[in-house]
Amino acid sequence: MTGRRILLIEDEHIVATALSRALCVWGAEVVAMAASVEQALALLDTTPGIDCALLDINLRGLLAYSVADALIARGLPFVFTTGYSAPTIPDMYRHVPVLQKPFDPEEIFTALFPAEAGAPGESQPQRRVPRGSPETLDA
Amino acid sequence: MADPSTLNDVHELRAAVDLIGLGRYRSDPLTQAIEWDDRLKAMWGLAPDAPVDLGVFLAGIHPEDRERVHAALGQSVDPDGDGVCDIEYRVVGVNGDGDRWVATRGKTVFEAGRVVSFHGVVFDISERKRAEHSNMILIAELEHRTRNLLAVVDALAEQTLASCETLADFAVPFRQRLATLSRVQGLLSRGETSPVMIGELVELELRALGAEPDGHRIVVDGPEVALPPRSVQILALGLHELATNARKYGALGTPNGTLSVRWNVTSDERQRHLALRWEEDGIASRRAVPIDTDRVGLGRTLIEKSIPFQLDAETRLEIAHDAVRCDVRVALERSDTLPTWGALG
Repeated sequence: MTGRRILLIEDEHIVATALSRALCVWGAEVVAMAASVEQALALLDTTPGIDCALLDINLRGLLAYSVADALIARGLPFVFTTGYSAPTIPDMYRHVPVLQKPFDPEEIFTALFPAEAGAPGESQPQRRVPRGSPETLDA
Repeated sequence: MADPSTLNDVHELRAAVDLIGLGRYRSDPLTQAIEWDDRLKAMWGLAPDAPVDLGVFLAGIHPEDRERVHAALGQSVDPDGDGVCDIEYRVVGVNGDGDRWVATRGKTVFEAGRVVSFHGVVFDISERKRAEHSNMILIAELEHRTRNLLAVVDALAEQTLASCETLADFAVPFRQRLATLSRVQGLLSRGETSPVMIGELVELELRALGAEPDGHRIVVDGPEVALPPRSVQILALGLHELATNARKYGALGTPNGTLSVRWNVTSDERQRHLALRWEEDGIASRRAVPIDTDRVGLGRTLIEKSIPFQLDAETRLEIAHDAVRCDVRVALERSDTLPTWGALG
């Protein structure tokens, strides 16, 4: 996962920020965050070097399948994230992995790059709490 | 003649049929004659004197259900079966513009293994179907909200922790943020017929910290404005951060401090905006370390980043040694502020 450049599409900023930090711990980089279909489509056009994406199916009350189509057209791997346990995802997206919230960031890599997940040599994340003191927190 | 003072099956059945509003039918497979009562004809959009045949019957059924109904009828005239036809289906009526669900139960009468007649009743179950459907949506929506809320709580915990020096510092701000989320759920559970007003949200967050608007030291003032449902949670969190900061470092923590929260609605051609100003004065005597400028600053992030990111909004937060001012401008009523109701995904 190290070095992967991720487009994060999620309309809850707090969730997006936490995910972004977690991904950073895993060595990936969130290069752009979008909260709406419009923003996501615009960022796809203007952000260079996106490797993959996380796509919340429901953005500001609208379904985000047009973003999924744009990602597929560009051949970019992505995962759906959703709050619905049985999301009514159209058949044409059957191959797209779905993560139900809340999920562990590690699941993203397993879903996006199953071939690499858990492979020997894959660096383990350095769990840390920025600007805090992990020793105190773990005590 | 039956004794009029005793129970009589025919009269009581007639009453039951009328009470429930059942439509009745009878058909003769030999002559293909079909007889419907007025109530059943009305369900198919037919006048009381309109003739009925198999074609009319099938034409009034929703095209997607037609085959299924036909098959069920076929089965019920099988002499080896029980002769019962028990099925629910949609009726569009002969004009094709109806929107109705019916349940029917019919029974074939056999004599010596031959069909002699088919009788039954039809019950309009549209209301039940609509209730079932809206229940299904409600449950899915509830789950969606719950899971999203858990994701928010998860992220809040993570980020509150990140801004704490010790675990002891974590408990109070985290619990307070949870309490804000909890209050928001209470407001949102009223449903969309009773939208959340900006005034009540401001007062709710102030009162939660023991600050009672008194029209003098604490002024809350502005017109009634309904908030887009999607904006309520993040605005509440932002207001909570301002209020808790004011209590720790600002106007709510000093006798000379004043707080005013005022708003109005501005409009241009196509868009209405809520413009709110939070203003604290007279706080010079307090230790001026507002909005956790000494730490990672979840409060500041919520106001400066989260609100503009997820709403169509602009915010500005200014902190001076003797005053705090926060401006929030949020778009009201836009197509993308429609609630997620029913948009399952």
